[in-house]
Amino acid sequence: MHVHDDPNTDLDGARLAGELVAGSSDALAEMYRRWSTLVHTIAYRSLGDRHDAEDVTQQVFVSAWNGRHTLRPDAGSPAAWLVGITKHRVADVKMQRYRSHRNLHAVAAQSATEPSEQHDDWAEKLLLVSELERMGDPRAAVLRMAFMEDKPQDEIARTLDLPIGTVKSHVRRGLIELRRRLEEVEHVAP
Amino acid sequence: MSHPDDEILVDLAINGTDAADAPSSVHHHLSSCAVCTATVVDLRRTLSVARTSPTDTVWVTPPAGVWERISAQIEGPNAAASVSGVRPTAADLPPRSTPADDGGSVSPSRRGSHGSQRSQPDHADSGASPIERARARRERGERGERGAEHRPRLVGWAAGIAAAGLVVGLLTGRALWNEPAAPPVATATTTSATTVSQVALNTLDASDPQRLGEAAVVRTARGYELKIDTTKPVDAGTGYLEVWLINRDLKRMVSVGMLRGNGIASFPISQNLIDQGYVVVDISRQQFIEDTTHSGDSVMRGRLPA
Repeated sequence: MHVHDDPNTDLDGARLAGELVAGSSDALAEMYRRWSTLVHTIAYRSLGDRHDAEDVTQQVFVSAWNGRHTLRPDAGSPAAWLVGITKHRVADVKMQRYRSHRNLHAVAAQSATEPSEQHDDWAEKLLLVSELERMGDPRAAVLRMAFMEDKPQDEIARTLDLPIGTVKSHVRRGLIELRRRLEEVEHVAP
Repeated sequence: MSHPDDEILVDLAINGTDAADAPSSVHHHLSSCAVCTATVVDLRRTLSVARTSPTDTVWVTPPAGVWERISAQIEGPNAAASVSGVRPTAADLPPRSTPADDGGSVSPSRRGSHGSQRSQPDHADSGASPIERARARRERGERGERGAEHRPRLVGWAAGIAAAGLVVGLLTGRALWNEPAAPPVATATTTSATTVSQVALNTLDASDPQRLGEAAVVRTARGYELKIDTTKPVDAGTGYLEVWLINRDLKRMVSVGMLRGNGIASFPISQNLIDQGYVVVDISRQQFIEDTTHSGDSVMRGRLPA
């Protein structure tokens, strides 16, 4: 199987997405149960203000409801979709802050740097952390050691008492899956 | 050669393209295959995000009031009722630890802490960012008042849309768009994108509609997309621009997304939406307020040919 067309395997997420598209508010409630903490944490870390974070969290799920027709259940995980919406709402708030700053200090406008999504990837980072939690061990443990702790694969194999081939396979499959999630985030329209 | 296995591309991403253990045929392939090169670049980016992800994430759960506001806000009385009947519990949420200074899930006295901010001079309200105004409005929490101010806007909106329907009905001719809509052809699978239909976007001024842009439904390898291209950037005022697809019954509509910057954007849509009659493309000027329904302030509109 080639990496370009590896199918999404999160059947449960696809079912939930299908129900949301069909207009089920229970599906939205279920998504909130599963992912509001992820959304809220991204908003809070990105904006540094609890009230703004709550507003963003609210907007994300309302946007998800109003824009549910744009969700394609066969095209990825609802978590990535929600994170994509979160990124856009966070960017909106930053743009607003930038604008009001600019208006207040029109003369010193040059000192206010325009916000840029590139400088802030809490969304991607926290999505990956939550994906690792979802994957569970041993894959999550292997990936944490391989990527975050930068341990060589033979050391991971020894520490976790796994065959080196198994470690390699977890690293490969895991990275491919994480990459797909980030791709899905990017595909979410503003 | 055919594309190498994804495992090989992953190894290249991790070990670098100079890694000696990859067969030379793979290097050869990569030097000429943009798709595989892009895959390796993507995998590297994923790797760099993963490497810098926090190892000790502190999850912050939103306070209960957030869900209450969401369920009050989503459209349709039935929907709201059924959602509010389902209280999310913390049981299914990811494991987390909340430090004392975060307090997000402890639901501190929101009103109280905000009240102290409010004691600032009241010019804060006029100079406040829209999100602050929205918050202030929410904290006033007068749902009745909101309903009351909502109603006249809806009437205006309904009248506007009826008039626009008339205009669109009168003007839906070939003259509205420059080129005839390209028929969906079978060869589309080999091309990157095929325009299925397109339409000019005009102001709603019945007597003298101004052409402000163009919308097109495009079929790509990833599915259908609605492409918006306004001739000039559109001033969003103090709010933002939102793209809608309105049903031909002029009663139902869905939000497709937010339009910003240069006025050029693509939004993923499902073919189903078009089939169901959501064919009127509308761009509205929205304010950053709690009410996310159509503001009634349509900047431009056009009806896709059936």
